[in-house]
Amino acid sequence: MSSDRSTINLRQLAGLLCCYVIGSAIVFIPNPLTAAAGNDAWISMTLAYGFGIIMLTCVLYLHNRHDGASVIAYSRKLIGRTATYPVGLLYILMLFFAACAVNASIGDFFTSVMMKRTPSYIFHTIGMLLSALTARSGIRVMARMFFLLLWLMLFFSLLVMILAIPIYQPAMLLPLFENGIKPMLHGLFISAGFPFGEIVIFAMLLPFVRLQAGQSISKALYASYSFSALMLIVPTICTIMAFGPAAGYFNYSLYRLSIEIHIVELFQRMEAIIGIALILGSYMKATLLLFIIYQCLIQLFNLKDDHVLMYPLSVTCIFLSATMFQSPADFQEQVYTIWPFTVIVVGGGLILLFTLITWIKHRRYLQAERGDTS
Amino acid sequence: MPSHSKGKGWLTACCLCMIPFLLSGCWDKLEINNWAFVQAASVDLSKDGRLRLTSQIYKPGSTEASSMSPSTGSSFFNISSDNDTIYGASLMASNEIGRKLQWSHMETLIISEAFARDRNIGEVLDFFSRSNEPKSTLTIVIAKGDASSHLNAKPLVENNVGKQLASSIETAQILTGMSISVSLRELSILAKQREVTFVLPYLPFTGAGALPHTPTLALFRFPEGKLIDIVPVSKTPFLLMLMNRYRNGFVNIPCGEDKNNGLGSEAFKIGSLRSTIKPRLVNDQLTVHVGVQVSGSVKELACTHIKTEDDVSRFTDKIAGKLEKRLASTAAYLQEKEADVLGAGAHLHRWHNSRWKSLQQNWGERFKQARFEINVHVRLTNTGIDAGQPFSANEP
Amino acid sequence: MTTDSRKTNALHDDITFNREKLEGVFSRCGDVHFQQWNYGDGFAFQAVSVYCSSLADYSSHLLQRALEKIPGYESEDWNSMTPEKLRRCLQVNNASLQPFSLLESFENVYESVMHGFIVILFDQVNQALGFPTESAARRQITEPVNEPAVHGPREGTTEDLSLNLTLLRSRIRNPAFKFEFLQSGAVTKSAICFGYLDEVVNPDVLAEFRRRVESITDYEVLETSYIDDWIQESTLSPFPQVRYTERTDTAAAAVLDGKIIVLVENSPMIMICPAFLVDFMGTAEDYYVRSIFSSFIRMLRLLAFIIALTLPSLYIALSTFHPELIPTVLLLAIVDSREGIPFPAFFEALVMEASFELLREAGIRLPRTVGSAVSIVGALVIGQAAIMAKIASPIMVIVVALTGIASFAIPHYDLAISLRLLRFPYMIAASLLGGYGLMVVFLLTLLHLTSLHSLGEPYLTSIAPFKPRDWRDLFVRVPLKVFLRSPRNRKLLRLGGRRPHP
Repeated sequence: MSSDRSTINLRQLAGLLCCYVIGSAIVFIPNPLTAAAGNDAWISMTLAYGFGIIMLTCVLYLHNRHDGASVIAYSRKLIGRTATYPVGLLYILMLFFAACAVNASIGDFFTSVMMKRTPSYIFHTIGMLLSALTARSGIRVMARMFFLLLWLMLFFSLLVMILAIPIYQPAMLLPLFENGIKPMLHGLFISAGFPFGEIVIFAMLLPFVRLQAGQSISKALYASYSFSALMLIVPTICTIMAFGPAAGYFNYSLYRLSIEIHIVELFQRMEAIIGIALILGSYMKATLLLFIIYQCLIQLFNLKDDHVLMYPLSVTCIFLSATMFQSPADFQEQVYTIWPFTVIVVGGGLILLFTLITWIKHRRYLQAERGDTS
Repeated sequence: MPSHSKGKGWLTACCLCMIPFLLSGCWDKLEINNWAFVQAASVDLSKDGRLRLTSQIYKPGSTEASSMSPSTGSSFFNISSDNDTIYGASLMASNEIGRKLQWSHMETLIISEAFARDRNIGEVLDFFSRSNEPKSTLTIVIAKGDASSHLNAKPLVENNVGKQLASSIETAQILTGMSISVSLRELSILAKQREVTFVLPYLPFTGAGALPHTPTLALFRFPEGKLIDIVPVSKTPFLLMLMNRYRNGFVNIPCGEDKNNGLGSEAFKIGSLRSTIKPRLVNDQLTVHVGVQVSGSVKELACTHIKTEDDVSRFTDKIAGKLEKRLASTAAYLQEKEADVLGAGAHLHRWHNSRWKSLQQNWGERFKQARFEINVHVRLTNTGIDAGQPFSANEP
Repeated sequence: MTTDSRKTNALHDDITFNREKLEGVFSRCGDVHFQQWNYGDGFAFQAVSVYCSSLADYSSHLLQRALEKIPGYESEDWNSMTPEKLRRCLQVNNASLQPFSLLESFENVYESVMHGFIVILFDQVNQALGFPTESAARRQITEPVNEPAVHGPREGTTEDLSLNLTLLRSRIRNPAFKFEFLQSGAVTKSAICFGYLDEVVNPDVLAEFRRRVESITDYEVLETSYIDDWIQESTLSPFPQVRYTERTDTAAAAVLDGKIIVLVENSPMIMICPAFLVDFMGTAEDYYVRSIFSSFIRMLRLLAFIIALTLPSLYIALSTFHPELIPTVLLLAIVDSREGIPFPAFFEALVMEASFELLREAGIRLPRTVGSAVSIVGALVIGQAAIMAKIASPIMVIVVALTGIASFAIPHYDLAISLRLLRFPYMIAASLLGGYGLMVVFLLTLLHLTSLHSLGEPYLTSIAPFKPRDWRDLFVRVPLKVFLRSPRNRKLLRLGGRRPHP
């Protein structure tokens, strides 16, 4: 029970899913979406949530069919050992990008908003070190800790959204589809990649759950995913209501919303507190990604699970975070154009491929059984 | 015991964690006394076409060694600097003072009328919007004459001029309906629309004047960001009524036809006012229906008796009539300037987006030709703690 | 011990030999006395009583009366006793021999003398009699000084282990309340006792505790905290992993909660383990006053916890990195008061905190009569004069004073000192990276707390493995009627042979 380091219960897994999805998105969403889709951003997000549900269904189907084996394990079963290596490496490269992008984005946030003269490598280093220390303590400790931090983060974001009610103008949600359907599709593309499509990466954490009798992993994960989607769509709507056409202009929407809060002399200028609370989400996501990279590596290459590899991984990520993005425009292009494509095609494609192969195999197996008995 | 080795690992980890801290050079750290806190700033156009930024900075109290309480006399000083950009000017000011300028406690930003007429105010606003320091309740005003002269004036009751101006505009917005405060956020939203006209508070007096006057409004248009016209003081409250930004205020009703016949005037306080703008296209001509709901109380009576239901409706009809007349003349003024500050265009843009695309080309022209239907309804809530007859009335 | 050595260690018939050997071992123990007396017809037979006057009460009449009962077996009295008759009495070992215990070896004699027994050796008899006497006077039962209460019992433990056990047993009169004894140390041979409520205590926790504590028998244990040092998981952690109390009602409540209590001879501190972070925020008195009031006090304690940990670092972070968070009027007042102070905010805070710590330590060490003078002088020095000398600003004094007061408001001393310690890394982090630095150390603390275990159970039980149901006894104190149907109460009812309510 307490001596077992490597399993978490269902409620903790659902919490981790929430942290993972909401994580870094709550700081950056909906800015790229409103820049691309304008007032239709929340429609894009809702549709992207639908896409994410499809992906989640596939992931859960694979999880149940293969009796809780991890992605690498059932990919070995489905496409063979030799083919799993390139696929696994692709997966790991994707993960490196994701972890470093999240880490770099924390640095960007602080250096552009709160602490402008501090060089960003300080934030990269400290953030990655924190993530490495946390990931090293194992998934139980992570799950316990993140549950608390998740509530903290949600509390502050809800506080901001509620306190900003005086500045909302619901009329600014109109007009919809002003320039046709293309901006909405663009927004859908972006949000299907980040954050909704990344559920295919979260699949690596499903084997860690230990279910009790009568618990259903699907119900819990669907509920938690939907809750996370709600917690991302509501800020989008609030941002559009507060800023209208200027929503795509402000870089960090929820942070900017918190700047506008002015209730009494006491409740103004809370944005530093909000900024720090929101960054907790990015820290959680970076930690989870680091942990998933580690799991992928040791499962792909059959290494010993003693958490020694964590530090070299984190050093690699520090260097990557510092050098991957040359400029803000480069960051925008890589994270909001190339990454969604990667997630949808590579990640989503892989999962769909696995689902298809599993389904075909299962049907053949059922047919063979029926053939035997009839 | 395994727990002790975990403890050792923790010690190493903690030491390693401390090293990056020690390596950091505290770039953003600045002692509170190394900041120069700007209370108010003004932007002028200098003679060679550059920006002149004048900042009013708080000067900390003199250090008196014997007393424990902070010194009571607070003082400010102004510093001007010229540059092509606001940021450049602020750095040059920091150079001269020796402390870095901190914008987070700035109350007011004053832009001179000359600058507003000549240059795009977006140039100034961009710096303050992009920086995270200014607060959301920053008051932006346009001032007549030299903006920096306002910073030299002595504040009446507040500590500094910035706070004085900010609270006077705030009071004007809440109590008298003579002005509104426009935040940076609203300006950012307005600036992102294709073409929009809006108002900013305007101070129709120079800093060196004897008596301060009431603030009024100035019309602006984006994307040029230039001042179009200054709204006459008499039309300001009615303009705000048309914009549905009027909170509280008053209306004076003269006793006779002409207010100079020595019979006095009566004061009606407007407690709440709500106006709805409904633009409609009838046969390709724009018709704007303005419905105004007013409710208020009597503050001064000079000649009217308000005792029966008929009295009340006569009184309120008088007020409604006066309001309708004034609103109509203000609407005519707006049409003449082709200034759609009411948001009729925005309304069509939101609710009838497909038609708006064809209309927005010559919206100014259409607005000029529009027909206004103004309907005011007034409700009297009470007459104060005296009955509804004038003070000196002695009829039973 | 082999049979040979047992033989050599056994008492001899010859009383002279016995006495010489005993005098050799007890040489230079000035408080061990040998008293010779004779008995029998014509006082022909010798006997020696050995006792330690510091431990045994030789003047008691009970010994006399007990001795007179022994010849009763032979229907005689001491004037007609002979060694053979005595041997027969001792061999039979009947009820008239009570309360004497029969001692056969020298080891037994040493142990008995050192435990306050009066040992009587007889000539031509190779056994000795040991008579337990009342122990010497120890400290009276008083109210514990460090855990005062307005409402509730004022019984505190003393240094006498059996008296402490009496106090505890009289609170839980149930055979399920088990006491197990250990003896530790080759020289001190101090008795360690741990108690728990069978079937209520977690069996895994109990097994873990037993596993950890059994190796302490080789070490000289002088105080209960030695055991804490022995069994705790992380010696480098600033957070205490066990709780201490001197109040018997607190210990009894802890036992009913399923905890293990540990007592050591010659120490009044009762150690309660496993202890979780949430245990440190409540006191026994919370249950004796009204629930609304104690809920309020608990929330106040939570505030005190946060203030004691973070207030100086918050001040440093706000004033050097985030001046926009301070309201304008207060900010200008701070600027006024800090003008002319030579130190940066961090050093000013450090100097003030250091002087406060010095004052605190000095207050503990000084004798009572001078202690009050120190507090007045301290207030003068740290407060007024520092400001006038421009070493500190008024706002810094307020911050330091509030922090100190908040740390005093935390009921458990161990947690308060850990917060005192943790304050300094927080201040350093705040001075280096402001709000971000605070967040980083907060996350590091949280990580440490989450991975800390106390006897195998997570340290942040009820918070980290998130159980909101437990919070009704954590941040508030709900009235006792709510607990009637709780699982713990039902378990206790079942244990006591009653049916729990449906």
